[in-house]
Amino acid sequence: MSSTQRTTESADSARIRAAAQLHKWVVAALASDEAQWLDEALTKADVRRSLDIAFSRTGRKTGTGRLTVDIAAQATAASLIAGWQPEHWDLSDAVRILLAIAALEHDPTALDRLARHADIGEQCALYRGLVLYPADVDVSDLVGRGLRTHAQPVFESIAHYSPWPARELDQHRWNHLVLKAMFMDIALWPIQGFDDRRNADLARMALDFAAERYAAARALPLELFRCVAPFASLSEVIRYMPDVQADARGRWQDTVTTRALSLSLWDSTDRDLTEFIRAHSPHEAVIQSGELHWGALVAI
Amino acid sequence: MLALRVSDGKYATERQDRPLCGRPPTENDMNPDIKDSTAIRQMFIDPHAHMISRTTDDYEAMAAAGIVALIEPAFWQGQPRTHVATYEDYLSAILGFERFRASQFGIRHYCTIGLNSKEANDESLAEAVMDILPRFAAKDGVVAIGEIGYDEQTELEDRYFRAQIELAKELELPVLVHTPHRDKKAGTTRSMDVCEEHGIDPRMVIVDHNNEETIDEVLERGYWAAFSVYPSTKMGKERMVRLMKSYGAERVIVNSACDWGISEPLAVAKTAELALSSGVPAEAVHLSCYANALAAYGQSGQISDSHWLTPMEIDQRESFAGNSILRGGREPVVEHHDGRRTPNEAA
Ligand SMILES: [Zn+2]
Repeated sequence: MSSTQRTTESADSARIRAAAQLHKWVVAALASDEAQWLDEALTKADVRRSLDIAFSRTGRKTGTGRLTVDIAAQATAASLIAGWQPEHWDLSDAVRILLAIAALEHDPTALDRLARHADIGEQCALYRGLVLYPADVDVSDLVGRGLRTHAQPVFESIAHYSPWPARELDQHRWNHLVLKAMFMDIALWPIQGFDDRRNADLARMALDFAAERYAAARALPLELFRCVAPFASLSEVIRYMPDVQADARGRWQDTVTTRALSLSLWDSTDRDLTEFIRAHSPHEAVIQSGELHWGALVAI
Repeated sequence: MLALRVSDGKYATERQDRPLCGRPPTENDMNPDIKDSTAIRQMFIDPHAHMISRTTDDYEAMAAAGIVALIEPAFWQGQPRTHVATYEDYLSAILGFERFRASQFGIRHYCTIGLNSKEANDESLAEAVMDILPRFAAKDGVVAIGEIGYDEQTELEDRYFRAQIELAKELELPVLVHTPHRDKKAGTTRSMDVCEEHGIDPRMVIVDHNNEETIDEVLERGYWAAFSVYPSTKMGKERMVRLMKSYGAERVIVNSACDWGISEPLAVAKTAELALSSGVPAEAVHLSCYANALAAYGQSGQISDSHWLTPMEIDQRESFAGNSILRGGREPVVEHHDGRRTPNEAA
């Protein structure tokens, strides 16, 4: 057995345990009639028509609302699959994902089949489930369709709060995911593993994008500077920087904008840019202490 | 957790000029500048609008006119479909992307699912569509089986009308009946006879495209009576207002039925405006242009005024309301005359 095979098998067994854990949380959250409905639907997952209808009816059984995942359960989730954040899922997502996993056991094309009839909420569920599908299921076309969408929620269901994109996408698709997020005004900070997957090509695309927006006199997503920080020079960055208020010594005021700038550019590798940020940013202490981070930009 | 809810703020501002409850309009609700002309600041529902054929200008105008929710019935598209696959994609579109498109304008979008009477006459297509309908009909936001019924009153139309009434009963959904444009009076009577043969409660059936000739019997027999204010073929707003005056508003529903033909997406708002200026009581306008549609289709459990009155309760992932983006960047054309440097925060 090769080491690749072993890794795949242990990843799959982690996914199976994660799905079993998800089932427990779902059953605990459902009323007993609905839990019984789900278990019947899962046992009939080999009957396409029955599974497809159960998938469609899910919203009527679960209502709207988040899956309840408390702090301890969040830790359990992360221990099963690094980066798994089911606290960002709805209960209906979780049920649909369990149904999709059950369907996959009988039909390797089940995801495409379900996606073909899926409304937006159902598409989101199918994409949130990416972390839990077996490794041998080919999701490449499905993900391609999702990333080409104009529906923001669908795009976010792939890009946000999931370890899947950073782990699985090749560089070309990853860069287009990031660029499209900025193009669609979608936040980058909920994209997991973002900093580690920055690359020179992405930095170049981001600067081109900045130039286009600049020419059109349109505002930029501030997180754009994160893409370029490790690759760009001060002169390449400074023309796109927003105007910010500063004191007599040139120290920026503490605002959400300057926090975003400080965080974005702190790990620049360009000496002039680093000096510029150290000279103007008032955030050194809170960045070093970890108090200021993307998840707490307005909270501190 | 950080959430700079830019769009929330935007929506809140846009909605401030509308009364935030479903009560009938009073004089005070009207903008004093336009009291007796356009744009009544009241909430409306257009319970019959084929938005897949309309533009974003229409959505914008509808939102500005006070439409907070609309229902898109599955129908034919002018050109007959010849493959079940195109029918499937159509149903997916009115359940999916069209709902998203509407949300960009702050309008809640619902739909009805069904095999229409015209395409029921293509037997092989109809059989295949009947096979896929259950997969679509139970999805979120599907408020009825419809629009179904008769066109030429053929045997095939009859067969699939009945089969879909049974599907509606099974899924506990209301039925939206499209009454035929030709031989309308007899066709309307027959539609109701068939509903009763299948034992569906008239309160669960919305009979649409009524006129002066059909209204008596439809109301008499206990059905919801809908009117499509679609001047060329169905009903004009002056006639509609006359009907509101003589019949009142109980179980009367006004819609636009706007589609790919020459039609009027603002028909509900404009009819309401004409009704109010013609002396129809505000309560009757409120019922026929908002509350009755909500009550009739609300029986599906899939449409509720909480979706637009308290939008935080709904799934924000289906709209732009969940957006959380930081915008900034230098604006090349802006000059600050007082020399002040301004933080440029969209947040
Ligand atoms: Zn219609």
